[in-house]
Amino acid sequence: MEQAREGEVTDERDRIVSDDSYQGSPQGGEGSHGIDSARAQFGSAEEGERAMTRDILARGRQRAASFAEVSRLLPELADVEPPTGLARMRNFLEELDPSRKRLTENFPAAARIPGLRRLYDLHAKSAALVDFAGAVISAFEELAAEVEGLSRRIQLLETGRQVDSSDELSESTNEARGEASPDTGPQN
Amino acid sequence: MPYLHQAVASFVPFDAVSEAARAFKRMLWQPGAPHRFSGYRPGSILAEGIHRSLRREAIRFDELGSGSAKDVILYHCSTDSRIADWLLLRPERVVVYYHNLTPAHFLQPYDPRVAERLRRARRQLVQLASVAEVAVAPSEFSMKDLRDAGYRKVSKLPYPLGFASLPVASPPSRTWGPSKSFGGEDTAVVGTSRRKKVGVVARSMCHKLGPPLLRRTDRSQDPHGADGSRLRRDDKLRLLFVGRITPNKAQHQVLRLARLLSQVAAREVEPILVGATHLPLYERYVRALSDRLGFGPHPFVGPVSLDRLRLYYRTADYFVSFSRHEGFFVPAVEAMASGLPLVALDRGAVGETVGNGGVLVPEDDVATFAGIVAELEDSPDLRDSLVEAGAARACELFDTRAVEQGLVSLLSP
Repeated sequence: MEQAREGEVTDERDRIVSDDSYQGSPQGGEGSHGIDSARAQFGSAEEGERAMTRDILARGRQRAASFAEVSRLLPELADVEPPTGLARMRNFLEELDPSRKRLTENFPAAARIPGLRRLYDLHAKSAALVDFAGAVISAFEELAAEVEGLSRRIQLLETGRQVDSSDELSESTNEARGEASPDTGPQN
Repeated sequence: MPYLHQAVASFVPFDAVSEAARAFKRMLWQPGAPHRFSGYRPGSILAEGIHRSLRREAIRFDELGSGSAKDVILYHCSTDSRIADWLLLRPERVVVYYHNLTPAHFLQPYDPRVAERLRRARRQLVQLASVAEVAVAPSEFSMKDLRDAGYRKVSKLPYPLGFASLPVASPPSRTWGPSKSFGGEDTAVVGTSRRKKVGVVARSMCHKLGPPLLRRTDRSQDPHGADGSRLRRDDKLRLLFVGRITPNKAQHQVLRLARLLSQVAAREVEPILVGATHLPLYERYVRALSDRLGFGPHPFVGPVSLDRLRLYYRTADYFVSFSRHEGFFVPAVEAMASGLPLVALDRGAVGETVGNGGVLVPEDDVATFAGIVAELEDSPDLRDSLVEAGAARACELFDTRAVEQGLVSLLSP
């Protein structure tokens, strides 16, 4: 859906660029590029700058076509993120767990003044515990929501079996494999 | 004579909202301020949380005594706050300065608590519409949010960049078009060898770089050297982004762009991500992606001092942004003022802020960004022209008259 919207915007911008009377700058030649070329064609600085940035965009897009293949092979954020909300929450709790790491390592003064690191650590750990407790509550809320969603799906699945609904069956199968589905909460 | 108070959720150093409050105060009551503001007595800066270094400048909001219906409280809305609930019961006139709220859906998968706070903030914004006399915002994008929240009287008040407390630089030279003046000193010359010596500004506004305590980072392990000297020694192509590490700012795309560029160009490319993290989970995944792309921990330089930030602006080759939501984009202005060519995803108020000073890209596609950077690398004149246009745009945004005029019309009875 998001992709489609972005595509529309792109098309719109393409049309604006191609309708524009600015012809772009000739390839090569000192002083023949961008703003100077635009200045020659447009009366005002603003129009010249607008034409120049559109020209850069249009040229960038042309060039991007040759990068598309390589770009498709780049890892995405989704490749390193866990696919389910529960796995995310587990990672989240790990990040906040105050017992995992020293919390004051970035305070150089703490290394110089005796007792200060201990004080900072206690202060930071108490703050982190509050954070951690809040996150545990959130995690249970997430868990409850997911269990509720799962119960609903099981119910649907049972109903679906009676009416032989293959759609619901396949969705639930995805769920069982741990894949995200559209309406099960924040994992998307 | 009535008081004009300002209220912010947290009053901390290196924060765009706190800095805006300080800038307005300075603008209104500093010696030599325009007489038309003399209709108000300087009030307090009220905050829910106050950093210890700023305790002389602000008081806790609930310490304010009984007010008068003639007094004004200018509330800077940027997150949830008990101040918003408190304002519903106050007698003062309320004016809302809306810095924008990040939509909760961006953060929900990474920290449900933060997402819930943002939803609460949005509810508070709606509630305040019933008592606010007027609401203002620095961008049309944010003004639309205000109208959607039920505010009937909405107007634009530019971000007070020109009243920042930091050293002011000279205006950029401009070969054509209108010239405007910053009115200051401390000019920085752009540092890369390829770039023309346009006299541009290294004027760094304070912005959202995270809790000040986190800024005390140990630089001994810094990949750029403790003094940043390694930044100047090599011929790497450096892509800079400045902002909190959050999913809506999409730092992961900057990393992907850097890898793509390094693969298609015969040159080493280094992404530099300045900013603190407030969402450890997103940072964890972005770091994992960085490892997979072969950059390791090096792109994450954390929150930095203002001097260090200026150094990054001066020594980077491009400012690239894939941010999906900005109410006003202060780092983009800094980048343009510093002579960095800017390529940014056109979302939120990014387009309004950048104007024609950078290349705005409608599609969230690293290949297009790479194509643009490659084009600019191959066309030094075009790149210089873009830098020039960016500097001119920064000049417009630093113009103090628009802020003064906006404030005058806002405060007039």
